[in-house]
Amino acid sequence: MLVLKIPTGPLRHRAMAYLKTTLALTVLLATLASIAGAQELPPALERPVEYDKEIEPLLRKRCLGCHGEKKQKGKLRLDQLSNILRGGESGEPALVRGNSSSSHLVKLVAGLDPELVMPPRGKRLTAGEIGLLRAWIDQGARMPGQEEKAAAVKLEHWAFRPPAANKPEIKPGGWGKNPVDIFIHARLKEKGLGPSPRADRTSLIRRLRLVMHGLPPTPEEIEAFVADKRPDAWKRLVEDALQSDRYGERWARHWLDIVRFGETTGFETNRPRPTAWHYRDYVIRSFNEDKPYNQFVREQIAGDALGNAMATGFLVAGPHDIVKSPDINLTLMQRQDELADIINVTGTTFLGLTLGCARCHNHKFDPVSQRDYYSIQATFAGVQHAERVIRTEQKDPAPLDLEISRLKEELGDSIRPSTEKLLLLDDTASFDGFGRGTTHLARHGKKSSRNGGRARGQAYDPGTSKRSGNISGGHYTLWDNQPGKDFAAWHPLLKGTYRIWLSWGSGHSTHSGNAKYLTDRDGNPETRNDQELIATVDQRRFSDGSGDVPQKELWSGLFDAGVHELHPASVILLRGGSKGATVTADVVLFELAEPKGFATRQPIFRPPVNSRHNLDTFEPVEARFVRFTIEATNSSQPCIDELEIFSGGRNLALASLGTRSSCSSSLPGYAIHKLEHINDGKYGNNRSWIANEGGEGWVQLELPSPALIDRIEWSRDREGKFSDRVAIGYRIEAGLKESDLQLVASSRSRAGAEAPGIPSARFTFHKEAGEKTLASLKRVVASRNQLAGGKPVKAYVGTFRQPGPTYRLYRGDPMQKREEMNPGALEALSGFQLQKNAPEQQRRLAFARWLSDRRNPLTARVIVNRLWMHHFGSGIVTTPNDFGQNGTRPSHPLLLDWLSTELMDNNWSLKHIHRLLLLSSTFQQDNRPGKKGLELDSASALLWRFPPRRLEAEAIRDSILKASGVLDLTMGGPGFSGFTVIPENVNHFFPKNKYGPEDYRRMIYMIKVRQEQESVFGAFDCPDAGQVISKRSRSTTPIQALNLFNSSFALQMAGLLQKRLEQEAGPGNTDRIRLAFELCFGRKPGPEEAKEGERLVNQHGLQGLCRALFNSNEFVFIP
Amino acid sequence: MTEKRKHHGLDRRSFLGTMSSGLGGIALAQLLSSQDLLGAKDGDEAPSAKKPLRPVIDSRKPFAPRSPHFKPRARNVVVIFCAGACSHIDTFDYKPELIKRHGKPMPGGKLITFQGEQGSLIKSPWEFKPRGKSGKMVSELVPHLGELADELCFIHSMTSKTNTHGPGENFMSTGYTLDGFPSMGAWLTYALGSPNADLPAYVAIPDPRGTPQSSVNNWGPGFLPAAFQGVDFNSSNPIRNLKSPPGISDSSDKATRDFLQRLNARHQERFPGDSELAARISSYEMAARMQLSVPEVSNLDSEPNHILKMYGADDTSNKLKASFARNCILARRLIEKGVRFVQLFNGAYQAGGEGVSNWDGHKALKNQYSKHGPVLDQPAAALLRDLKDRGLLEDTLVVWCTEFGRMPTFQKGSSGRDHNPHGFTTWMAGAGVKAPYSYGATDEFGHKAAEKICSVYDFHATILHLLGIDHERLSFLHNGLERRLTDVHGSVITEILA
Repeated sequence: MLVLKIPTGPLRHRAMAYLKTTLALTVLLATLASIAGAQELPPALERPVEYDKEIEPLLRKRCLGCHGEKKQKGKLRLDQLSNILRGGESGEPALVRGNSSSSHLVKLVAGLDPELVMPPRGKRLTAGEIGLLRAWIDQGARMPGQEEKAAAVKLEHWAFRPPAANKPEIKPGGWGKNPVDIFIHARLKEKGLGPSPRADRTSLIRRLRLVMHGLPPTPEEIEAFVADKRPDAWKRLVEDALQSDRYGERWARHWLDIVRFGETTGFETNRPRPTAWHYRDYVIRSFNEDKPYNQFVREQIAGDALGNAMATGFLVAGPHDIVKSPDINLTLMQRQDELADIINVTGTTFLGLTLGCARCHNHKFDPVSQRDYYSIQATFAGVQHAERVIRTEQKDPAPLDLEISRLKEELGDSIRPSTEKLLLLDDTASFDGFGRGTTHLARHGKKSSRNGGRARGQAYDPGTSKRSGNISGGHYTLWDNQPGKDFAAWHPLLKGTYRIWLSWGSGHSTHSGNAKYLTDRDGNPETRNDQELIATVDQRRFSDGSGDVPQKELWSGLFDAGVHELHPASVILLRGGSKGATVTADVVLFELAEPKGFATRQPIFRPPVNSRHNLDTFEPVEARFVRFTIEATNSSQPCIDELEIFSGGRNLALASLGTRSSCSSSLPGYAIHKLEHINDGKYGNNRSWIANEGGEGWVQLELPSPALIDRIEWSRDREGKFSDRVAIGYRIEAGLKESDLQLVASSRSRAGAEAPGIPSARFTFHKEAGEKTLASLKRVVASRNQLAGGKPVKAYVGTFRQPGPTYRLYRGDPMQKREEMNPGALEALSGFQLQKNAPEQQRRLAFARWLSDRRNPLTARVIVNRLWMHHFGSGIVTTPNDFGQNGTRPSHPLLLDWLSTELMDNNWSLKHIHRLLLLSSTFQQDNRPGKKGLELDSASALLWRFPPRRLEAEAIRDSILKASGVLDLTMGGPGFSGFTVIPENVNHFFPKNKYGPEDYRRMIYMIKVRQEQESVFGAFDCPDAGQVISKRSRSTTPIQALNLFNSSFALQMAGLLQKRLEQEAGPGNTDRIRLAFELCFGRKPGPEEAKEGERLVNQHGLQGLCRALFNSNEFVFIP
Repeated sequence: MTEKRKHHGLDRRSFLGTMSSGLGGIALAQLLSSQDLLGAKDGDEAPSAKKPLRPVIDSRKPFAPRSPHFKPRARNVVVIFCAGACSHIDTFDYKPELIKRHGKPMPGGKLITFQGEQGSLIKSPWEFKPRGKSGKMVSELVPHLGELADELCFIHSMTSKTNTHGPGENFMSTGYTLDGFPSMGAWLTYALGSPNADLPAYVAIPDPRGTPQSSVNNWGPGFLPAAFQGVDFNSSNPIRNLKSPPGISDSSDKATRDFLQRLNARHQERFPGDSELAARISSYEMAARMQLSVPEVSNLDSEPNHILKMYGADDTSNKLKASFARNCILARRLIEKGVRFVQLFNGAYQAGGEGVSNWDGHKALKNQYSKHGPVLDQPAAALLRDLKDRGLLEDTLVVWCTEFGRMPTFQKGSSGRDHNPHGFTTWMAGAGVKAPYSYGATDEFGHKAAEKICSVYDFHATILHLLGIDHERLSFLHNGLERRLTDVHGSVITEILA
């Protein structure tokens, strides 16, 4: 059609003019106009246009009624260049200078967006008027006299202006000890209030410790402080509190709330992030070191460039949706959400500003434009959620080694040797978590697989009556031989006299003919004077020296290296001999040889139980009933996917043959785990039976008729996906009558109580102390393993890659891209702008510097306010994450400014601020209410007293542990779990109901599972790490009461405190009750309390008293 | 301004204008102002938005009943949530066109959805039949619910923002796809408190098989005080730590409690007027009452046989159904006692997820839904009927919902339907909604909502409205924002209001 060929631009204009003269084409023109209206803009005039003469009158006539000085609909004002360029609420700049066809204003007045046409009512702009506007815009949209104003955004709001310089003078005779008090006192006086007297010393030390450490002081510490007559006693106490490591743990918890730190991904999968804890340790360390806050800020944004790689855990501490889909819309939106999370947390944490709204439109109240938001997005566009390999600083391992051997010695004293008759350690380079296992001392150890056959030395070699079956599994480790070099060390952690059975990978002529094994008493291979050679072996052949060399991977069998005295720190070393190209390592077996010289023959084992397939053969027996009883599992309730009973090679167990099944119990509610699966002929987890009993249960099969059976085959998961819930201790009975079954097979004759590679013996201890030592040992060993050779560690601190272009998105919609953005920060707060292609790291570095610059008016104010809040219960600004127009105004603006200046002037030292607050008289006031105070200021916001408040969940739990005497103060490293975790296709978390020394660490080290709340303390307003939390609510609910009064945790702790009282306070109840009050409240019981306490204890025992004290208000409130 | 957007609440001026004459009016105004229900004190000056209403919570009595913004149509809510995304195509959204074009490709070319490429259009394996006087077409998968079609108010044009379960559940339960926002029940408990001082105000009843995908986030408090979270228990798993611990005798338990009470009372003497301390003391009192009231309400022994039979709680051939039926009876008992918000989950993510234990029928729709249908159908229908028989439906709103819908096609190479956030069905019944009624519609295949498109925000706004709450005003100040259940969206669907 003719009309569609009309040229664009000026030519088109001329063509249109021509058409207009042609009357005959009127109808056609109408059609054209509607098409043009939908798709095209009227042309720009081709002549210079002046704002004052033509544009201003046009705007005044058509637009300023709604978007002018008096009214600003949608927050848009068209008489100010600054506002025009920034845009109204939508975030869309009203025009793009020099480009009228991309200008929002032009599109709206031309009616290109049918949903939004301007003006909304009345006559539309004519083509001529639009052409005029276009011309003005294309010519640069000059507005005489407004250019300078456009550049400077007005910042009226208090928080965007630099802190006021003021230093109050302390007048002699006035109230208070430091400037904090001057500010507080002035406000109180205004209100007609006055401060409270100083609190008593018992309350003061308790308050100090609960606020600064989240732990109560010991009775001895209280006594010492009360008796301290030195004039600077309080100052010393404050200083001690600040120097303690407990300080960092307490204040890191506050920080982790703000940055929504969690150790699972959140969302539906909620998978673990096992290496996220590095960031937690970084935060604790930073507080304890009193790292300058500006440096702390910088490192969290760009620590990879500043020598502190763990710090960027901040950026990826939040939840992350890992469910991806081929649907592109979903994927783009997910990425936008990820970046929004990073931008939001950065804004709220450091600036106390909500930046998130600017994703879709300009911030309604604060100077945050949509352009700012996407500039910041460009800054972080290269950040990805992921683990990164980090080379830790090379540190001297010697102190840790020393600690390890000390702990091992200590542990050795508590181990019961009688339970350690046999111990199997394999060659894999890992510790089992009990400080017991094998380490590789040389790099590049390769794993070699054995042939899966049943011949001698092969993976499933069942053994004979003279020699053991293959107990080493299908693998061994091998290295290129170097004479004299140590390759592996087995750490049995045993004390006593043991026969050592060695084994290796044999079958190849390249293996060393004279590999050496030694004992090393102190466990440190570098000190050689404590080593003793115990064997030199030919690794080409079987342990008895027999066999040819078939060039196949075989297991040697057990080699008797004699009886040796072992100490807990002792290790067995494998050292390269002079012959052969290859050295191999495999299982080593330790057999108790006490009394000494006890003659033994080779232990004969069947292979250990495994998850995939187990065989139990026996002399043929006539049976109708076969019962499989599980006595122990490697974890949780036992699972069996199939149980087969063979008679002459035929499986009689199948339900299809008429065999019936019964069992002790079945896990309810799981379609894939049912009794009927036990003999349905189908393998795998999805067709399996799980008993409903932890670590035990039985299943019985009843054959349709008696048969001669000789073999049982069974498995946990023959598809090999699951290796939990394996029955590692079991017995099989068979017989003709259900009431009279004979034992035909059991796990007793198998090697290892557990799957290959896991020691056969569990620890039992003479003393409970052993368990505690073990827990410490485990952690020190973990730290040592990380240090080993400056080993790189994985940490969930994000990865960084050069991003593509970032665009401003209209209404936040990833499908509606607008102009490309430069990386930058908030323009109104002197933000920077980098080139669009600036290197990724440089972007974050520039942002970090901008954040931590002392000219940034927010950063220092925001952090001193947070510190204040955690001292006094609420902030000077009560909306600690919102310092914008929408937040509350500071109750003491000058105080806030003074504190932030103090921070910056003192090398951004947070401890400096703590000192100022703690040494103030304000902090040391009594906490009791006064009538006038309550009337005029019921929330005690003006601090006419120290406001009492309930402790947070973590501090309550830690305080209970401390009072019970079991608190484990080991710092750092991976956390402990508050749940039993069942990994299905999503993770399920079940509350623990038994607690051991693993659980006695401070709660900050409890693995932070998103969404799930710890079963006892979660109800005490613990954030779930889904959203940024700057201020926990402090609610009081009956569920809290039930948890603290009835939970097994509370009961167990009450029992432990009871034990402690019995041990430490002598036999009389009076003394015990007194000690209980001292441990829990830091004071002695009053006469009434003592009397009532005795009555309770006499009738119902001490535990009830302990339980009541943990639940009391006095225990959970900061005095 | 469309009809839909018309505001049903009272603004401050008209409220005072009509009510403040006479002493009663003044007293009421004072009461409202003392509870800060006539506008936040330190709120912003947002020019366009309505003034936020933040209920003032007395920390001693966080569950004390609080007045709604205007006269409510419903006092309590039961939400039946089908986890896993229950297919509208196979339940309530009848599409004759699907039968006609069964096996043919959907017009419009290749479609990529959550799990990938789509195959052909597939009609529901279950026949649809006209039900009740209204003749509403409901599938044979849910015949008992079908029988009650005249009681139901369907919304056939629901849309979601996400096609993933976790975010989808979050969105339906909290109004946000992200984790960490308060659930609808938490908002309502925060707004209204509870008339029953002996039971939790908000109860979540997980499916017998376990929890849904977003688990506790579905009934979490988000940034609201923890007091307002849902307390989760069902007919077989009681509230954790509710019972006195084993091995402690009743008399010892009581003596301990008395001793604690005296300790606290003596401590309180030093702090006259400190409400947080008093609140803790009263929380122990309520806990003690709950120890009696919760087992009582959970004990179904007193339910007569005909009731057990009506729900299917006696069905020995389908234990799962019997178990879900017991949860449904529990829901009714809670409503009877005045519990404000009950969330009843059908389907769980444990033990297989994807269709095995929930409605996520990607692979074997017919097979899996044949198991899920009966578990839901009779018990849920009985719950509705029972509430009605007892007159409880007069002021109870029953809501049936799910994450999103499913595709009218089968997935390529599979016998099930993929996720479909573009169109799905929910229904309401009881107080304040029209019935029988069908609102909105999807296109001829059931793929996308086509008429009177309804967002989850609209859905939430409507539920709040029925409870007497203006969704644009109920707010909580968090991180500098007046947070709402409906964010900055949502309009009450006035057309379905009775």
